[in-house]
Formats: sequence, structure tokens, C-alpha cells
Amino acid sequence: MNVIEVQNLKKHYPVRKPFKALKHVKALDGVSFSVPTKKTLGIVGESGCGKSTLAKTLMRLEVPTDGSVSLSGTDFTNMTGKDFHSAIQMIFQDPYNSINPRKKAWQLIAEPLLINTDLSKDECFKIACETMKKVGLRPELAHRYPHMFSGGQRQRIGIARALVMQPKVMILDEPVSALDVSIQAQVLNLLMKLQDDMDLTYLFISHDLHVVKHISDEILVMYLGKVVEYGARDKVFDDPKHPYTKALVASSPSILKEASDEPAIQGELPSPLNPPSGCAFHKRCPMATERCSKETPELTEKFGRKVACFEV
Amino acid sequence: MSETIALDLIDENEHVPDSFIKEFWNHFKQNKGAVAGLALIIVFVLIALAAPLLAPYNPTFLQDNALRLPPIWAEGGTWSYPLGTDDVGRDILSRLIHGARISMGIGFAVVILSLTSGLFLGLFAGYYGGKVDRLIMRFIDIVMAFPSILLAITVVSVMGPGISNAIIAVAIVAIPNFTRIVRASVMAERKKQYVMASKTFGASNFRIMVFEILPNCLAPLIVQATLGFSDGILNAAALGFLGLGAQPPTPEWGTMLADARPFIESSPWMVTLPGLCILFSVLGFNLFGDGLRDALDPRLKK
Amino acid sequence: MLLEVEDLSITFDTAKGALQATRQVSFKLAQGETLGIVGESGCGKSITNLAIMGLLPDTATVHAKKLHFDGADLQSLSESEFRKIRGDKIGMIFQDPMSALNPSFTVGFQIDETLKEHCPEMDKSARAARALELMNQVGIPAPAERLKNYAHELSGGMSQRVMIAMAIACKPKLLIADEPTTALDVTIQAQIMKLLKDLQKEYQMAMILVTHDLGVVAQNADRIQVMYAGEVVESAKSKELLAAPAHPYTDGLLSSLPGKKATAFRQPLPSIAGMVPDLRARPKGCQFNPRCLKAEDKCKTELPALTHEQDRQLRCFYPVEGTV
Repeated sequence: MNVIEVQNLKKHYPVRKPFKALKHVKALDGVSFSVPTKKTLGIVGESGCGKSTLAKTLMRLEVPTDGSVSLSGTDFTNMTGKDFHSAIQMIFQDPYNSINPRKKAWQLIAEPLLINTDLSKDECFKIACETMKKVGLRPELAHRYPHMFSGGQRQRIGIARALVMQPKVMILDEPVSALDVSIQAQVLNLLMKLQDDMDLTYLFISHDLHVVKHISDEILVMYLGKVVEYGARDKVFDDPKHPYTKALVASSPSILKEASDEPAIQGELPSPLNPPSGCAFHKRCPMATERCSKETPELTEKFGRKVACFEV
Repeated sequence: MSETIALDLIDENEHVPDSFIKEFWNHFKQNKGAVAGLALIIVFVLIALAAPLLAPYNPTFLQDNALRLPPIWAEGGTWSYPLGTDDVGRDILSRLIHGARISMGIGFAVVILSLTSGLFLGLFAGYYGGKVDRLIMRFIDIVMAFPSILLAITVVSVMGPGISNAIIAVAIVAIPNFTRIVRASVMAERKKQYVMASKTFGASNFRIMVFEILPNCLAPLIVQATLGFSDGILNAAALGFLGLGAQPPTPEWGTMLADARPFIESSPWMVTLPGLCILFSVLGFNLFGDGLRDALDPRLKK
Repeated sequence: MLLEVEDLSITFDTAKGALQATRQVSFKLAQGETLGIVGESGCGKSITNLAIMGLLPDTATVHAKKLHFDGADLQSLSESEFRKIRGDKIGMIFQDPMSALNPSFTVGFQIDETLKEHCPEMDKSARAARALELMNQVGIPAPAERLKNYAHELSGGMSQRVMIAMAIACKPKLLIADEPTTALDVTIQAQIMKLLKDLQKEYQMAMILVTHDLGVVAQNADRIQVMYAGEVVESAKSKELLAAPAHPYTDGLLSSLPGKKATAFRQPLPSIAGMVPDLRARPKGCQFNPRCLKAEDKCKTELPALTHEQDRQLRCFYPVEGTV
């Protein structure tokens, strides 16, 4: 069964400028996906592609303009706070910015419990300590403040905090990109172990294709609020079809391959306020034809994955 | 390299950083001026607390036989009245000692009043933004558009002179400082990810404001509170001097200054001594406040 | 040799005691060569470059047997002589291009200021022409209009291009790029690295590329120098280092990278346990010994020297087998 099912999710922000017509930034424009239980969906794309808006909308921090999200079959707008928070939790990118520096480790970890349950402080403390063990932190450190922890340890606190409600789905927003290389592997290993132990379903947002590829069963590639390619990891990364996915894979630096002589794509992301007509990618696309500048390609099943491109 | 995955990564001999207070004190004590300021404050507070024990006379008791006696270092001074007496024969030392009580009390009351109201206004304005922010900040702008002492005089003239009214007047004048400082730091903190993280756990706005954001805005607030203390003392003394604050025979420093004005040439100590008390207490709080700011400001660390 | 650094040690005076940010760092750089410096935060890679630029704060003390750049002894230079070298002969670009540009002035004005400072012989029109040429060279579309823009009107990639234009304005002999693409998206990163390579070829510049991204150095550096806790632990030609890392730390870093053939899907990644030592409380002996699986008693008491063998520098008693 699909633990999370997202249908045609849209989030448009109105932008008002004096003396100009009202415009909308389409941060999310018809995103659909579903993830079966205990699987990982990797979401990749560059800044401005809508990854963060997607995370915020799924966490009910933003009200979707259109579309639906259901968690284990229930529409998420109909869920009570407690049900919702024990269904889905989120881990943030920056371990320095995302935890309150004035709280002790256990208070940080127990926060969701204190807000959503009637457990006593002692019980919360106990659960926090147990969760610390699960994420590889010694419970003796429960009374320390965040500045006494390293970046990797802080990220573990963030992970523990998301785990105390025993959610089914976890949104991981660039969980390792702020960490040093030698710590990244530790945290990734922890995340994979937790997924197996606690039957978690992950939405893994990252710009690092190697990391995403290592952990994800399926990949969703986004560009300017739209899904451009969506399918199994080996299909999407080993044999990318959409020109943007191809460019991403080619640009991603690796110790295994030489840099290509020419950058994979020229130009930069267009302004989301004035997206190009037709396919949003056509101005940077080496395969673009006239049709691409007029019509918007739909996400269609091709070569065993979904691609939004006329030319494949 | 290794096949095993180490999950417990904490080195047993890891270096434990100093506690916040220790780190703060290490930083603070390097600033000699601030330490001197703290010492001054402690002296004044101790004097204020122990005023009845320290003062040799009742501050309002009139000595008929000892009018305008000079202090001991001047010609004609006696040890019975070390700092001399005033025009109606009250012991100036006793009056100054009791004056410390009143001034410290005024400073404390002013800070409590202005801080709490400024804190609430700033918290709401900074957190909610938009219309709430505009409404609150326009009110603050209006308060700030008046010269502060003029505003205080207006308030006192409406409510009538007296210490408690003076305190309220001076507190109103100080509200904008607190509001602006709280609003600025709330607006900076509001954007941080930990606030968003709290929202993802379903924390209410009240919880986020009071338990998440507020503790992180305390540093500038403490500094402003210290400086507000000195402003309060100064403004209350000014009102006292104008006859709108504490009323005679209350031994308030500003009022003493006003009473002594006619004798500024014949008995200069009567003006000098309360003036010096105001100077040193205000100086103490200002030095301490500056030291606090340096020690608490994370930008200056390392 | 364009740049020669020998036994560079930088010590910071802090409230909590002396902090040795780097010790005995030695490397050489020839004209046109690219040296990639990798390491984790706090390993001293950025500090080393600040020392070369003479930009360290006053709390730092620099000791070096040799710190020579282009025939000049950097240690004996006065501040004004250093200023002449900075920008003129050594250019630098930073991680965060958005904050490296002054938000209150136009891009054109800032490029003009750089030219005024370092090329006093140019008159106003010559400088304007050069600014336009530079903008073209770093691949900025519609350069004439862009010169009138402020920093906030440019994207991250564009700002970094402008920073590069300013850094190469005087055709420096050495370009120091400190995490030049960390704040940028991968497709833009590829464009910027390509641009840097082209410019390097054109001007015969040497480049020091500081980054934490092993992929970026692997693809762009001739030599790679790995730093740990302020020390050089290993340095060799890129291909040799990547193919056969000799220091256990280098080996650990490389094997912890996901996305290699050896690390299959969802297999636990080999990782280095523990964390970087506190530089105020350094461990005895080899700095890596508390995290090293090959550490013996000797490693815990004695600091291995930096050995030079063929073209590889190494600081280890028990290197990974089959390499040296």
C-alpha cells in the first residue's frame, strides 16, 4: 500500500507589485507521486525547482492551491494534529539553524511529545533518552545544550526529534549536505538503519545525486515546479531520458569520471515570475524544437519511467 | 577501510565546552570598565537595601541648630554631619543614602513596567508582522515623536505629580526602545529553521513566541534593561528636579538638587553631592550595560 | 616554482589558550598548475590561503621556514607591499559570491574600483573597455547592461562570474578559489569550473582550489593535498591519489563516498568513526590515531613526519598496503 499519495499538488504564490498586474509564482505546478511503505523516493532538482515548497506543503505549513495529499489513505487536511504529526515528520538541512540553541538535548527531542501528547515530563524524558540511543547518542548527554554538540551530533538530535512520534513518513530535506564528508556516511548509514528498524518511508530531498542514488528506490526530478522525470533509480540515473536529468547527471562531479569538456547545459534557471512559454526547460535545452516553446509536455510513460518531454 | 559501522561516535575524552555562564564571565571580566560599573551598581544596591541601618539620622528630621553645615573636608565641618546638612538642617548623608533606595526603586519599577509592555508589543509586532506590526509600530512612532522629557512632563501634568506617576511617565517614554529591540530580534529569529521545525510538530503560535523565540532574544533585552535602568533614574531625577516627581520632603536625588539650587554659590556641596550620586549610579549602569552587550553579542565572540 | 610553502605553522591566540590552526604545512605550486586542497571544516585549508594572501587577523602568528611567492618572501612584506601583490598577482574568489559583492554599488563600479587600484595607468575609458572585456570573458550575457546591476539583481552563478572577473582583472599569476562552487547548483557549478579552467589556460595561472567536494577536485586538480587537523596528511598527483590512497584518512574519505561501484545500493557505507579533534586539545602522536583502525602504539605517541617519496607526500607510519 502507498503510505503517501500526492495527486496533482499545486502551490501558487500571488506576487503583487505596484502598477503591475497580479502574477503568480507557480512554486509547485501539478506534482503527483506515491511511495509504498518502507521505500524511499529521492527528490532532486536545483534551487528554485520547488523541492522546499513541496516539503513545506506536505508538512501543512503551506496550504496547497490545488491537489490532494493522502497519508495511509486519509486525506491530510482531515487529520487531527496528533494523527498528522504521528504520520509524517521532517528532518532539516542545517543542524546549526534547525535546533533551538536555548534548549537541552532532551527537551529538543521530546518537543513533539510535549506538544502532541499528554505524557508527563518524566515519561517524555525517558522516551527522549531511548531515542537518543537509537540514533547513536549517549543518553548521558541529554542535559547538554546544542553548542556542546558537533554538527553530526546535532543532526542526530534532529533525527531523534523526528522519530519520537514514531511517524510512518519522514521528509528528509538535504539531511547530510551541511555535514563534513566523513560524517555524511555516518548519518546516511544511520538513516538507512532506522528505515529498516522502524519501517519508515522516506522522501529524500537532495541535490547530491550520488547520495540520492545510494538510498532511493525511485527518483523524482523537478524543474521549475514541475516533475520532468520520475521512475526507478537505475532507470532515471543510469539511463536518463529527459535532457535536464541528463544534464544533472553529467554535471554532477564524481571521482570516477573526468569532467566533460563542455558544461552539459548553458544558461541559468529562468525567473519563476516569468517562466518561458511551453516547456520550462526549452531555452536551455540542446534538443528543443519549435513545438517545445509552444506546448507544455505532459508527464507520460516512456521507456519504463515517466518523462515530460516531446523529444524522447 | 572499515566494514563496521560505528553508531556511538562520541569520544570518551571529548572536550566539553565551558558552560554559558562561565564563558560569559570570562568574556565580561576582560572589560575593566564593565567590572567597575558592576561594582558601582553593587555598592548602590547594597546601600539602598541597608539604608535604615547605614543612615545616621532620619532623612526628614530637621536639626534646628545645624542649618547648611559644610561637609567635613570644608572649613567648619563636623563629624556629626560628615556630608553636612541642607537649608532646613537635614543630614545630607542620610538623605543621600535613603535617596539611593528611592532611585534604585524607581529604576527597577521603570524597567519592569517598560520592559513587560515593550516585550509584548515587540513580540507581537515581530512575530505576526503585517497589520499587527504596522499598528504597533505606528503607536511607537508617535511615542517616539515626542521629546522624551516633554512626553514625561505631559503625562505627569495629566496625572498629577508624585513618584508613582513619575515612574509611569518615565516607563512610557522607555517603551519604544524595548519594543524596537524585541521586534528586531524576533524578526531575525522568526526566519530560522528551528521555528519552522517547531511548526512541523504542531506547536502553537503562543508556544513558538514564548518558548522558542523569546529565549533567543534575551541577550539584547538584558542589555537594554540595564541601560533602561540608568535612563529611568536620570529621567525620574529630571522630573524630580522640575518638581513633578518625588515631592519634598522625600529624599529623592533630583528633588534634592532642585531644593539646593538657590544655594549653589553659598553651599555648593548641597548640589554637588546628589549630582555626583546621580552621575555615578547612571555611569555604573551604563558601563555595566556596555560590558554586557560586548560579552553577550555573539558577533564579537572569536 | 611560483609558490613555495615550507613548514607553515599558524597559531591563534584565543581567550581559551593557543590554537594551532595549521602546523608544518608544506607544498609547492608551479605556474599553470592546479592544486586541490581537500579536508573537513577546521582542517586549516582556508587559513593556509589567508596566510598566503596576508589576510590573517592580528591574533594569528605565522611561522614558516619558507613562504615564497614569485621570488618574493611573503613573510618580510609590509602591509602596503602585500596589498600590491593581492589582486595584482594573486586573485581570490570566495564561497559566497552574493556576500562578497558590495550590495550598495553597481557591478561596474566595483570592477572599475579594482582596476583603478591595480592598474593606475589606465584612464577612465580604458577601464570601461576593460570592464566590458572582462564581463565578456567570464561569459556574462548582455555585459553592458549587467555592469549597471547591483549584486541583488544577479543570480548566484552570475555573481560568482563577476567575482571571477574582478579576480582576474590584473591577470594574476595565482588564483585562490576557496569553495568557489559550494553555494551553487550542480549545472552552474559545471559551468563555473569550466570557466575557471579556460581562464587558467589562457593566462597560465596557477590555481589553488579549496573544497570539501572530492568530486570537484578529482575532476579539476592536477595535484590533491589532503589536510587533517591543520596538517598535510597526504599529497600526490590526482590520479595516483584517487587510485591508491595511502593515508588511512584519505582512504576512509574516498571509501565513504556513495555512488561508487563498490558501494552497492543501500549497503552501509564504510565510514570513519569519531570526529575531528579539538585543535586546542590535540591528541598525542598522529592526529588521526583516535579514529584510525590501523593505529598502533607508535601512532599514539609519535607524530609521523611528512615523507616525500617519488611524487607523493605522506604523513603516516603504517600506510595502506600496496600503495607505497
